[in-house]
Amino acid sequence: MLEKTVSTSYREGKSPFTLSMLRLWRNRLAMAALLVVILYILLALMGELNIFHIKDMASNNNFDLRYMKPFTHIEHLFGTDNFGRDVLSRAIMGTKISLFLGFVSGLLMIPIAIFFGSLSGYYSGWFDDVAMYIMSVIVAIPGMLIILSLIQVAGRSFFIIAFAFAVTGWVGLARVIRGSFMQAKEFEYVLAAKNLGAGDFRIIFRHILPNVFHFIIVRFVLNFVGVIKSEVFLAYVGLSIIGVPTWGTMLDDSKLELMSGNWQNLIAATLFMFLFLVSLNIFGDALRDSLDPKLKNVV
Amino acid sequence: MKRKLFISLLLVVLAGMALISCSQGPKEVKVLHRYVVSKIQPFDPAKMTDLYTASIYGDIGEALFQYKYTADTYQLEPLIATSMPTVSADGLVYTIKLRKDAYFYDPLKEVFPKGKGRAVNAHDFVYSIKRLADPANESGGWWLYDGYIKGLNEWAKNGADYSKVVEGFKALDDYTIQLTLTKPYPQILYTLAMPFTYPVPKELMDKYGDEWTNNPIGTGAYYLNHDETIPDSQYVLDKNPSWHGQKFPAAEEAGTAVTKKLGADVLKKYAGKKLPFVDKVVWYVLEESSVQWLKFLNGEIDFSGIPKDNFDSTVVNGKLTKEMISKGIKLDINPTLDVTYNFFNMDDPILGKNKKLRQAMSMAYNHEKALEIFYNGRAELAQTLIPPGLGGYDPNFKNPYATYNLEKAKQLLAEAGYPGGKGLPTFKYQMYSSSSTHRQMVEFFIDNMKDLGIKVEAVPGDWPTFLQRIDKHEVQLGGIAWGADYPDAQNFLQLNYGPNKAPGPNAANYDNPKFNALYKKGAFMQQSPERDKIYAEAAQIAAEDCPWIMGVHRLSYALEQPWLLTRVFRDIGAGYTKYLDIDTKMRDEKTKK
Amino acid sequence: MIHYIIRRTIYLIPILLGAAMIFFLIFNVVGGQDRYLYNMLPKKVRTADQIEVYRHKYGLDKPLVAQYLDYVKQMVTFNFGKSESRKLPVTRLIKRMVPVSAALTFPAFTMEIIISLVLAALCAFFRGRFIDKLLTILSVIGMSISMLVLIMVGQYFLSYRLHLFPISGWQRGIYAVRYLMLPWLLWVTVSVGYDIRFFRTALLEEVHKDYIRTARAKGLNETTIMFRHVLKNAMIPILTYVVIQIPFLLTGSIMLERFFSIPGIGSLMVTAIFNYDLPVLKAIVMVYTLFFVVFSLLTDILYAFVDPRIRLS
Repeated sequence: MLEKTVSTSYREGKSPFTLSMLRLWRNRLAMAALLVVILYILLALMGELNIFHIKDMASNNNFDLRYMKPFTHIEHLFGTDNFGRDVLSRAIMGTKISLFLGFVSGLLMIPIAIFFGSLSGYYSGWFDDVAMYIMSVIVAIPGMLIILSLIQVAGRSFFIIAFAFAVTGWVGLARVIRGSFMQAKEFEYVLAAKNLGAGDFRIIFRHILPNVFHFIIVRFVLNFVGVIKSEVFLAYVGLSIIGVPTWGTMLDDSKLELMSGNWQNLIAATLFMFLFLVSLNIFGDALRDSLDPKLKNVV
Repeated sequence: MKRKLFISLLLVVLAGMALISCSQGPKEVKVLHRYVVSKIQPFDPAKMTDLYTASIYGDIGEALFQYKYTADTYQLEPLIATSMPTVSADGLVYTIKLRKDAYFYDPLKEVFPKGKGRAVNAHDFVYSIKRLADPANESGGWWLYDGYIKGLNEWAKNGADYSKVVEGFKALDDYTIQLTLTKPYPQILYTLAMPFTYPVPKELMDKYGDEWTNNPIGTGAYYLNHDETIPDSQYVLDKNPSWHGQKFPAAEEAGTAVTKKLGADVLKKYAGKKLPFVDKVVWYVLEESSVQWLKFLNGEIDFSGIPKDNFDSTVVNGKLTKEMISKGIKLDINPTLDVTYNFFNMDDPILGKNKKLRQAMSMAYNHEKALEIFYNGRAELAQTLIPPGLGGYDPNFKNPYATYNLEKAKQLLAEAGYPGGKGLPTFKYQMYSSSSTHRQMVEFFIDNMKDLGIKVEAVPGDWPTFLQRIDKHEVQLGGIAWGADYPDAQNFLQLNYGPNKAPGPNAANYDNPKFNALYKKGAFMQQSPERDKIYAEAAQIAAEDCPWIMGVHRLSYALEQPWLLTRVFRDIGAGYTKYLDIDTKMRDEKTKK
Repeated sequence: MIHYIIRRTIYLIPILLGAAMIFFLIFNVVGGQDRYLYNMLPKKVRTADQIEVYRHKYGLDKPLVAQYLDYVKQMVTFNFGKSESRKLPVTRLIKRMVPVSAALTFPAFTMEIIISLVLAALCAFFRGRFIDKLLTILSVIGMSISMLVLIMVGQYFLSYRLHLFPISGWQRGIYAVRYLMLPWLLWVTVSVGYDIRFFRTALLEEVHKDYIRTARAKGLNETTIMFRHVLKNAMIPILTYVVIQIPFLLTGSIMLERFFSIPGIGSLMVTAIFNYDLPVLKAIVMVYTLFFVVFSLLTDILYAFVDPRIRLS
């Protein structure tokens, strides 16, 4: 309040990005969602660093404490599973895998999408034809079929799974980038840059790419949602990562445990996954809305 | 307009539902409900490798022999044959007489339009055995006969001409088969009880061409009801009106274990009663194990085998849940004819050459704990590769390496030249499945070896990869199981027979001349105490050499509804549905909500 | 227009070749020939001779290029041979299973679209009001639930505990409806969330266009604006969104089919992958790709139909 009266004479103009971030900042729900996401990241870190023995409790068998019911013991809040491992710790370790899968597949996917999208949008010509062809082929096969086949054939390792998601996931983003580039290269600022002698590389990366940045970041956030849901499916068909607790494997394990009244795996994994997905969805939506200049004025 | 459409649609749906609920007719039909856990393969006996297809087909067709239902051990009795065969003195020539009243029953009346159908004869059996040998059929049962029947291999090699006579398997007259072997092979009688040898009429193939496997025609107690069967969803079998008939075995024939299971009064009550008891058998295809459970608990299924992988979570510590007890559900546990094991690759320059090392690793493996964790303590620790219940099993033999003793293991390891595991590379354990149980077992193995100071690393892979690497002799360590095809220990001993090295069934590539000689001598002798002694000796030699770390002989867990009356567990053989009876009144009462 | 359709149809060929190439690469090159081979060998006992016989029989001793051409030949002639895992002709399997899958997915999809269109229109109409907020929250929740959890919980409580639906099963013809109720319900529950959000955005984007403002200024009432203008013009993105999903319906729903014992194609697809059942995979890829290309062509034509500004060239 006080400041406002002082700084009047000149005010620095804010970049659209800053404005977007401000809009986002004002969205309380989105900020709460972001907080939850950050909490999840911290949890995953804690699990990885074995703070409070989370990692040990998630992996060490303890056959004297099999199938403890949830919410009956403080030290095993969500109970224990078939092998006496703490279900809560396993859910936390599952967070790590989900985050990591989403992150790595996002990182793999984005450069491919940028490469094909920007070059084919900018240059047209034969490169565009080739890129469009590759994209049409990938889109024309059910994505899950490619993912399942790749994992089945190449093995159930973490990187293969992340790679499989990236291989099928980049096309959508590349198409959007391509579209934007095709529009942008006709804009005056690009022509101006060209006339000023800027090279193609500079125009692509310095001038046009920042304008499609919001697509990339939103896609990156929402990629987590897709990957986490797909991981459950992979676990269901028996193709998830071996040897580590994931939310999908926990849910899959719980399939039969329900019959003997053991709901702990289901409850823990569902709760963890649900809260995370809700937060990601809310945050992703808000991010998209605040970054998209078209929606600036939409309520 | 749209509303009208909606209302009429709703009416159609409601009418449909009403129809469904009224479809039960007034006449009481005894229906038995069973399930299979995977989709069914075509009904072609030559390809009857799939357990689930065989269990459905098992009731439609019939073999020459069958296993006695109420005996404790697996003993053959004639089925389409009139009696057990006469065998020549040298054990090479078998003569089998057939009954004349076993008819191929055709429910559609397209192949055999008249009455009971056509009586099965010796030529049908000759034709069917040729089909097994014909390379075009890629039969999964051929290995059972490969090289044993005189002239059959040559017949297959020379173009598989069905008009040519095979010296070793021919019809002497319409109802007599003569079987001539190239070498003694007493196990062949067991194979003549397997669904592989169910006769198929040639007319069936002539009529339908490639589609014939959809229309199984057999002589069994049931036939496939084409109207109610929906492929991949449910298979419905009805009582065969022209079946030759059979009676429930007399009470005196029952073994002690079976008597204990069914109760002497039940046995007495059923003795001599005409089979089959139920009029209709419905097999549901339920791929999802949780659905099998829900349907079972809901009384929609009459008995359920608990998948070996999963009994843990449903029957915790071998006990039924309160809910199951209150519903009167019974748990039936039986030993099965199988053995689980971890094997060493005997061609490996380190593992194969050092017996002490293998023995040390075997003793460091916590057999007792594994039994507790993975089988709830409800299995038998394997001492040799022969499971109890087979000739050659020696109840007094204790394998010194099939028990956990870390101190002794460490000592042996030092004697082997690797004290504390020093100087050993990291061994690779080849996995073949992503099931959580398999994963846990591998992790358990690795943990055990770590205590000994030996590093083992798991190599992920699927089943074909696993087989392929075994065949290339690349698998250092692996863990599998073998289930009996027929009740003879030869079926197990062959797993350690040198000439059977991979790609044969001897995945460990174990090759001990002494063992080989004993196998060769004993495997094809007629059943006798002398032969059993040879079997036992061979098994103990292999146990001492430790090409395997012994696992367990597993148990079968099955749950039965209280209204299921005459079920006996049978690990091998097919076509047992005819013996089953249910108390429909009790079922109606119990399932009424 | 006709010229355009012909050109697009010709473009189908390289796409099919590419799809064949992807699967060839995955299974025959990345996976290795032998794995495929081993999967087909009789289970219990193998011999070295037998392996070679099979290798020859399945053409795996040919050079890779020749194998790829075999692949293409099968796809073009629609002659995929017999399924390795089911031992039945692939075309017969597909003919039998696709209608079953369609009986599950098409009604479910139709309900899903109708319900979410209505709800999205409600959201757009009452934007910012309570009902909009409530529906938005519900759709986020719907988007965040896992199908697997929903099926397990639904089947356990609704079918087993409350006996509202049969646990699982299948019948021919209209009787199947009884068994399809719960799968439909579950399908709609997990998928309306995405649709509502998409449709709402599509409608709102239209709402904020200048001509709507003009219409409003002109004094048209909200209902007329909503139905005459907004809905009509938002139809383009909505139609695209709907039509492009139709080919996917043919592949069924793997989880629903397996949990409810519905003999559709989805579960065949998964078994095919596990068993290296290439004939089945080739056929599914072929059929799906064909439908996909046809339907995306259809979308383009629809586009031109709905919006006269768009010219197909």
